Amino acid sequence: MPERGVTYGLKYQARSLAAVRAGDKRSRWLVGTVSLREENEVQLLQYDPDKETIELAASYQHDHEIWQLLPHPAEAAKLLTVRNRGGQYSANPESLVSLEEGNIRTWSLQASGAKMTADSSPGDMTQLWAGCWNPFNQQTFYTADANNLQVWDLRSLKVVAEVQGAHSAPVRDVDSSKQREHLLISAGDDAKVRYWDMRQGSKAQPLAETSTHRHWVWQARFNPVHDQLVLSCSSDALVSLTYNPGLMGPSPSGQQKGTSAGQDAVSRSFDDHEESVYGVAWSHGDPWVFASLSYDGRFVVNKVPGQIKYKILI
Amino acid sequence: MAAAEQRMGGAMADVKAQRVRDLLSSYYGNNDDAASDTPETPSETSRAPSKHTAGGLDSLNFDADRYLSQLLRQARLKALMQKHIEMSMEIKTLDSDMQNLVYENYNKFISATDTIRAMKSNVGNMDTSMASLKEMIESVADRSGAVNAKLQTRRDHIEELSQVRSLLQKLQAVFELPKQLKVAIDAGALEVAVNSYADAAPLLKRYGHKGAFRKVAAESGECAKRLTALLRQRLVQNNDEAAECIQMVRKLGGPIESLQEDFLHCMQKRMTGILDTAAGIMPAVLASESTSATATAEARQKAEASWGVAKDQTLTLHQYAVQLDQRFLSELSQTGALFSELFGSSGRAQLVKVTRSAFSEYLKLLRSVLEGAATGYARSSAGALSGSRNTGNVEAPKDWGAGAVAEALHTISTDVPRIHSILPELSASDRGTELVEKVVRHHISACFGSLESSAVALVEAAGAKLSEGAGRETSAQPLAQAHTEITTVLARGLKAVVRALKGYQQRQWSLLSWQDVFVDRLQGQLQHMLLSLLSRFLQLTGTAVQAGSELAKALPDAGTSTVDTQDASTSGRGSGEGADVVSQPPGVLLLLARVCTFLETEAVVQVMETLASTFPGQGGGSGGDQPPAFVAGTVARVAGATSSRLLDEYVAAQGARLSLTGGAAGAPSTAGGGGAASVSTTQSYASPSGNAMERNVARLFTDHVSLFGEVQFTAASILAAVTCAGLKAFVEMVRLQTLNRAGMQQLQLDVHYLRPFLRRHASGAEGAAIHHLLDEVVAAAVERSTEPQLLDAALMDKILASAKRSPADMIDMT
Repeated sequence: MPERGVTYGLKYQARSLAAVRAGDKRSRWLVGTVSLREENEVQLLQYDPDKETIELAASYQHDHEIWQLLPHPAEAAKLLTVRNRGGQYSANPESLVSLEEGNIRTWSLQASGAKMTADSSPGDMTQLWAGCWNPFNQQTFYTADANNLQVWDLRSLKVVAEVQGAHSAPVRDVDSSKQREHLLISAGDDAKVRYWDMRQGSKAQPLAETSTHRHWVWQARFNPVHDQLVLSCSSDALVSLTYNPGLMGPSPSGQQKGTSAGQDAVSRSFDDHEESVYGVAWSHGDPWVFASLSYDGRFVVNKVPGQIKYKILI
Repeated sequence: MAAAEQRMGGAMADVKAQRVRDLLSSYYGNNDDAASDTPETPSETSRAPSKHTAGGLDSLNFDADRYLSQLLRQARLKALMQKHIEMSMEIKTLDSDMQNLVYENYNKFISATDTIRAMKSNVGNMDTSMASLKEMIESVADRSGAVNAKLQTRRDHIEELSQVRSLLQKLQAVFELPKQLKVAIDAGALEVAVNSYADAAPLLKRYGHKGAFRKVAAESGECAKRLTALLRQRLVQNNDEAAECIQMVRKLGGPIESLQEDFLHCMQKRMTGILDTAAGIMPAVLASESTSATATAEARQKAEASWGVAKDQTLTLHQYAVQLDQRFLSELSQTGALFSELFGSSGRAQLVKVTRSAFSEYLKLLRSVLEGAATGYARSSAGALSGSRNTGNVEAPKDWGAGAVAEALHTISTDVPRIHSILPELSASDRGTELVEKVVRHHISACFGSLESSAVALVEAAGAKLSEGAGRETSAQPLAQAHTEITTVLARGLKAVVRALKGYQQRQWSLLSWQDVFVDRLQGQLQHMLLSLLSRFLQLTGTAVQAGSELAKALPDAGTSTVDTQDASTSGRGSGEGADVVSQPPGVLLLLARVCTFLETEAVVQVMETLASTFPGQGGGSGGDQPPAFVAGTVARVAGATSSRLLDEYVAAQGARLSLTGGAAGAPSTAGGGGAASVSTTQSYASPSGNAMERNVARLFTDHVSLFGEVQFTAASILAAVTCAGLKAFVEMVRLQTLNRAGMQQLQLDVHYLRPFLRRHASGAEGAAIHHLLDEVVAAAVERSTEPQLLDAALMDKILASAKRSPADMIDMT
């Protein structure tokens, strides 16, 4: 019987979850509630690995519903909240990208406030859902619109490549590996998580695919230290951890290898939730700890099973 | 009287002879007479006195006085007288005899004395003449020696001169050599040129650096170089004369080692030529669907031209193998033999390298031919079985080609070991066996592969049919039909293949040492084929198997299973099929799920029976403790798992279709416009947060509703699962919206309208999930609404009733 996760309940429905990157090596997460008519709040939750408990470290009132949380990459005290569609902090704390229906903007953040630096209206991209930076190159940004994936050059704010039909249903999330440049995962309404080598540009074929879910996959996240580990969550109320050791990542001939390598993948599902799970986040302090958040406000911290952990370490 | 007279006469003769003898003996001084007679007694017979008288007289003891007195005393006068006469007569005769003797011998004495005297003087003369003779001979010898010595110098001189002359003659030839060589080369008579050069070569070698020779040597050296070059050229161009050319170059003193390479190169070229020709002819044998008719015709012509195949004769696989073996293997062995003859053991590694590569090419070619043919046979047989595909120009063989392939294999396996004696390094026998094994293995997998692709083709056809009719109301007719077709093909095909491949076993000699594992291999392939068929089904529909699951482990790697049998036609699978995946209508998933169930329940049993009846008591026995190659349980289990996986996927696909429509339908609701806005009576929730709490409490007391449970093979279960997936998507869509009062109420009305329709699918456990989800839609709408005021149930019924009366309103509303 797998170990159950440590749970914590929020008062209202919640959708947004983010790990606090700045500060010491404690495992801390921010969660934001999404309630139309009540007063929302942001909570800073801290996991104590010795006692295996979750403590409420801080709580902030918020007037509007919170759809996304962006903790400041360097300063623990700062965070951005997003009221509707997504945004992404870059590693450089002064710049930001925001996404909305048919629009993508870049921002420059100063002490005095935010200043919009560029604005593009790719009119037909009405379903811009998610985006992420290329952690190795501050000029490259990946987005997902409807069934497709795009690569943006932020200097000109133009799409330089687009993978058509990356999923057979709208893509909900993308994330890029922190270890291997160009390695990207995408999650979509077709209940699949796919791995990509974005250097292949518009002709990219998935390197591998996992289909551990039975319904829409809302988020997929690379482990920040070991990118063989991928977390995904879905509205079938499951959190899934996939260990994909053979994935060769960015190699030009990687497609065959990737597909065959995908066969060695090991998946574990965690069924601590009863509602749709909208957020997963790895701990920033401990690479073997992760949190997930479901719509009914249940926040669960889990650990990577020893079996998989030792496969990576040994 | 007569006798007495005779006796007397005889006595007379005796007396006479005795007397002569006595005389002679006395003459020669031989006095000791053997006759030492005792005095004769008077008592003797009458004739005794005469004898005694005579004898007595001659004896030594004769006493004349006693005899006389005796006689005087005894004899009468007359007798005495007589005696007296007698005696005087005797004396007279004796005297005459004496006289005669003397006379007779005197001359002899004289002449003997004379002779002796002459001899004495002659011998004395001879000594001197001998001495002079010796002297003379010595002088002659001296003279002769002098003459000889004098002549010797002359003779030496002459000899020297004649030597010089012959040398000069030779030199003459040498001086003419360059010219001759040129002429010979120009005339193309390379052999002549080589021979004359070889004759002159030692001379040139010795004197080539001196005087006038220098020029000659240079020129002929030049010619020799040209010759070598020409020979080398000829060697390369005219492969048939390679050996002769090399012999000639060797005569020219060229470095043989460098020729080795050329020789090998040239032999390699010849072998490659043979193989190329064979490869060109290949299509004529294959004549499978993959080759066009023109290619076949061309190959056919080649076969007629270069192999001398008669026009009206069909080139069977067996004949092809025979022809190729004849040409190639003899060439190969010839190469080996020539090489040993020409170069001995030096550079053998090079030879082995070249022959090995040629041999490998040969095996490769044979393998591709045999495998191609096997694939062709298998395909056409499978095509004939399914009756849906028109397969090329090959008649479908009843035994799936087992006979033809086995015959060709037999030819090869007997031919190949022949080169073992010449080139043992190639380990020809082993590789031959390997080839046989590979080909048979390929044939087995080709048979199963074709069967598999026929089945897949049928599936694809069914899919296409479904897609065509996608716009119209599709009936289950094509699916049912396709199901029957596929199951028939599989059932009949499996049986037919197993039976056909038994043909190999009947021709055990062609399998060589490999026959032991043949049955195992067959069974293994059978299992592999079934598993790969299942995995193909999954792949065809784009159904991913959860990595690491039991199913994933049991299924063979979908890419590898049939790639070798499908060659060009489907080599682009994997990535290429990604496009097909989307186009497969969900109905196909259901069809495949049914086929899997068929495999699980019926086909496996049937296969077991066929195996048992075809190979009674065989299989799995080869390794003793090895498990049998065909494990019915595994196949059945995997088929079952695949079937449920496909069913899940069908549900997911249908659910996704519902989600899309659900999203579209939900969109106008957010706009908030619609008939429901005019509803007057509203029921407000006392407190939305209270409502949420209420729900949470309620949830505590109801069982955890599993939305995505196991799907059973019943229509109800499938429909419920599809509905769940669709409704869940509806919930998610609603949660992403922000609604005003009208939009929320519209949604509530929509759910109210839907509920009785869905109730039909909602029975039992699945039904609970559907009701739960319908509630969830309304709850989500309430949560996402700025003004959570719900409609009264009675009012909703009223609206729906009026909408039923006037469909136009209904359309307006939704």
